[in-house]
Amino acid sequence: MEFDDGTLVLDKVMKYSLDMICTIDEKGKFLQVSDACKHITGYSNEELTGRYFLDFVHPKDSFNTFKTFQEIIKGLKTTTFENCYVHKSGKTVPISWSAVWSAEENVVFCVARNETERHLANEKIREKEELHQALIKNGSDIMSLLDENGNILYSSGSMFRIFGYTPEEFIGINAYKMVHPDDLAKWQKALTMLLEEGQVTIPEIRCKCANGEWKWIEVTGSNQLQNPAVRAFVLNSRDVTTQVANRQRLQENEQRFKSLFNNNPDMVLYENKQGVVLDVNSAVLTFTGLQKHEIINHFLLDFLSPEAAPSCTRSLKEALNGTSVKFEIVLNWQNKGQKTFEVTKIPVEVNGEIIGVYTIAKDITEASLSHNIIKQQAKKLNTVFESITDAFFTLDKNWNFTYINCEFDRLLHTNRNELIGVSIWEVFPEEVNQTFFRNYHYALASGKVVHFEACFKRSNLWLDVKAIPSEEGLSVFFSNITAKVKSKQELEMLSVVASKTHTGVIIADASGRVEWVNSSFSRITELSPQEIVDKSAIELLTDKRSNNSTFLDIFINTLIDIVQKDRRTNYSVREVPYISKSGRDLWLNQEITPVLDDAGNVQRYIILLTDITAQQRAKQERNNFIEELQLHNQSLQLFTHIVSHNLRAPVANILGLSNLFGHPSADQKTKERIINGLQSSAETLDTIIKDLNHILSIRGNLSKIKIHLDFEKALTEVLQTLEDQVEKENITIESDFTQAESVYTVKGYLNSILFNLVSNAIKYRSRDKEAVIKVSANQEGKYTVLVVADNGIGFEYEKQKNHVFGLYKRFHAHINGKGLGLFLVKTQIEALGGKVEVSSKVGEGSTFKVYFKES
Amino acid sequence: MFSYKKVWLIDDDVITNFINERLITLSQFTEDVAIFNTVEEALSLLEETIKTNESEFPDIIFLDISMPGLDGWDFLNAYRMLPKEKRSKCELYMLSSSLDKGDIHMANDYEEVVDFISKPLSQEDLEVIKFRKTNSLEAL
Repeated sequence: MEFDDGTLVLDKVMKYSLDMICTIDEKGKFLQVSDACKHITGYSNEELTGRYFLDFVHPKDSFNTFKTFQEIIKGLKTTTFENCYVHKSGKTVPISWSAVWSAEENVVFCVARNETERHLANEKIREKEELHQALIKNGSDIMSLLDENGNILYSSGSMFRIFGYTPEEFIGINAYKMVHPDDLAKWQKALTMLLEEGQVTIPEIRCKCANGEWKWIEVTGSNQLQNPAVRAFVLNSRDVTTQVANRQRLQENEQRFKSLFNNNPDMVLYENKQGVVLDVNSAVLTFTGLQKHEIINHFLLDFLSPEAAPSCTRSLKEALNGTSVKFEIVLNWQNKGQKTFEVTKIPVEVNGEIIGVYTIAKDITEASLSHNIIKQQAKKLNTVFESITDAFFTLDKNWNFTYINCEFDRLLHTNRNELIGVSIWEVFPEEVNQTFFRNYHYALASGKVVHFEACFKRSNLWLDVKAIPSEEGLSVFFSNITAKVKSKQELEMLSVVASKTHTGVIIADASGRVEWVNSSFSRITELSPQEIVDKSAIELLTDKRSNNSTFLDIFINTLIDIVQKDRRTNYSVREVPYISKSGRDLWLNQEITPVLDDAGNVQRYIILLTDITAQQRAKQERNNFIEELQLHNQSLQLFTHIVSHNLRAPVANILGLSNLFGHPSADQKTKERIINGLQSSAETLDTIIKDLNHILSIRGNLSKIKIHLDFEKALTEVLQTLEDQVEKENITIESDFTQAESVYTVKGYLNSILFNLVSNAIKYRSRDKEAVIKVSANQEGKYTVLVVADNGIGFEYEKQKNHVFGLYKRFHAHINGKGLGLFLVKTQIEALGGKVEVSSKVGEGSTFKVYFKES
Repeated sequence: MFSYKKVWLIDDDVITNFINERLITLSQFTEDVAIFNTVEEALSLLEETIKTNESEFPDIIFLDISMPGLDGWDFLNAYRMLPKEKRSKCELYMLSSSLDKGDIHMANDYEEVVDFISKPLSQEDLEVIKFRKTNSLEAL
């Protein structure tokens, strides 16, 4: 070959070689690069030429490659090595090099081959081997080699993992030693089959573990005795203990389910998603009277009445959504009559998917009937509990509220919905160990009904409680008796006051009927409650006749007064005299207080009686004393008056006459008249002194003690003192005491009055006719009246009426008088509580009427 | 020489009137003494005098207090109702046996009453009356 030709050939090689051929100078720069570089590195020869080859080497190989290059240029003939290049696309390209140094040209000739594919192939082989090893070593299966007698030649690593044996423990031993005695026949048969047929599969056989446990394994065997590479039985064994156990459990479950399904007294059927019945139990057949095949593969709806169908369809849908459904259905199956079923539909889920629905139908016809009755009764009971006016609740044995009616809520301001199921002692903890607590516990413990009243402190209510124990717990009725208790307490207190007080208390209703009297009433009046309680004024009036009680008189008058006359609504008080049943003279202070309702109407009367006899007596004594003092005072005044006027007058005359007698000019005739005058004055003086003596003597006899005095006797006494005058003047005294013989009064006063009236009548007698004085007495109402009438001169009544009884009043200048008598009459009768009246006509006479008060 | 022209005695007591009439006459106190046993008589004459004959109106009146019918006080009450110019020259003396201080005070409460004289009327009383009259005249 010519050089030129040689160059040409080289060029062609360079151009078409699949390997990359290149020359690199001693500095490491590409001088020439064949076209294959494009394919191998991705760079064109233009891109590579003149560049340092190391720039394209993978960094991990840079150092080694550089070292090798150094060795090459030192003249080590040829070198092959591998490194990696970085492809233009960035991926790593494994390359094998063969390089040689040419000293003449000072270049390195290199041939580089892309080793990517070889690398990949090598990788695959290695992976396969590793996998195989891993499979044998770590796979769940056990690979074993056995000789034709069953002795173990080899076993894979799983042996230890599964059975716990080390290779030393099983290599060389006969496999049957590991087989369960019951499975030995199976094993023997398998070995025979291996010999005769070349392969065998033992689905389940028990082998002993190192720890003595038995494990189920599945064995596949192959006779490789004739295979020169193996010359053994190859057994592949897998641990199926879990599967066997699971299967057995499943079988048991299935069996159990089957038995439950078939023997269930309730009807059970299974339907698929479409509602087609796939299975039914015998109860269904019994109930329907159908054969199994008549039901299976039919739609369930075909057997249901149109009324029952919708609820079944709806519940099937719900069950298919994954929820169990329970509902009641009424079926009217042929001759079975109306039956109520409680139906439960249970979804059957397999691997998260619902594939069908079990339906269990329980005949609850009877239960339903009784349930309905119970429901009705409960409703009725509820209505009763709600409508009773008492509050009501029930507790179970654990003190939890099981029922509360609305009155309970209303009274205690609770919300029963919140209380149901809650313990009463949690709701009302403050009552623990208190009255309610003790009573309820007693009721529940003793089984006896308790009835009590207690204050519910939280609401400050008084409750009347009845707790009735039962099987379930406690039923409690209660009502609000706060007002009653309060008024009772008040009444009790009032009753204490009323019964303990010394004041007699009478309570009468608005019509005057006596409702109640206290013990003091009986003590004061000596009337028992029976004599007066529950009697009206009218009844008492009737009773009065037999009782003859002054008190009743007063009391009846009072009742009639307050009730009938003016329906008195005001408090009134008065003092009344009273004679007790035994005849004691009493004074009672009688207070009447009407009790009014809100409208102002009288509800009842409270009459209080206080024995004021002692006070009254004291008062009477005081009054008597004052009266006496007044009389004494009056007498003293009279005495003074008499001395200064009446007694003084004749004395003054005597003095005057004496003076005149000594007068130088007094003649004989005058002196005679003076002597007469002296005589007359002395007589007047004597009369006055006699009168004075008389008045003083009457005053001396004055006594406050009243006695029954006989008029006739009194008149006789008076006339004795006037005897001279009566006889001298020939005066007729007529007396008539047939209508009133006596009077209850003070003796001195009666005598004085009688004396003055009679002497007055004598004094003012008429000179023209015979004087007649008529003295009589009669009864006028509560007065005994003494009448003294004369036929004397009389006086002008209208003109003189104000002066008749005035002190020292005389009507007639020609009649000698001191004007004392009538003044005394008036004073004395008024002191006795009576009065004096006079009527008169001039020339006809005067009549005096003296009223003695009967008391 | 008489001190007074007309003297009226008003008293129900006969002896008193006798004493006073005699004393007044014997003392030449006046020559005309009129005696009235009742107030009524005295009053009616007094009223008549005013109407018919004023010169008959008394110069001096001795008036008792205690009398039957109208008494001295009644007279005084009627008297003070008379025209003042008619009675202004008349002197009125209360003449009573009363020793009652109340009577004396009451009498002095009447401005028509010159004085209260306690019975019996005496020569000295008349001298005092005359003396008072003379002095009061002199004072005029």
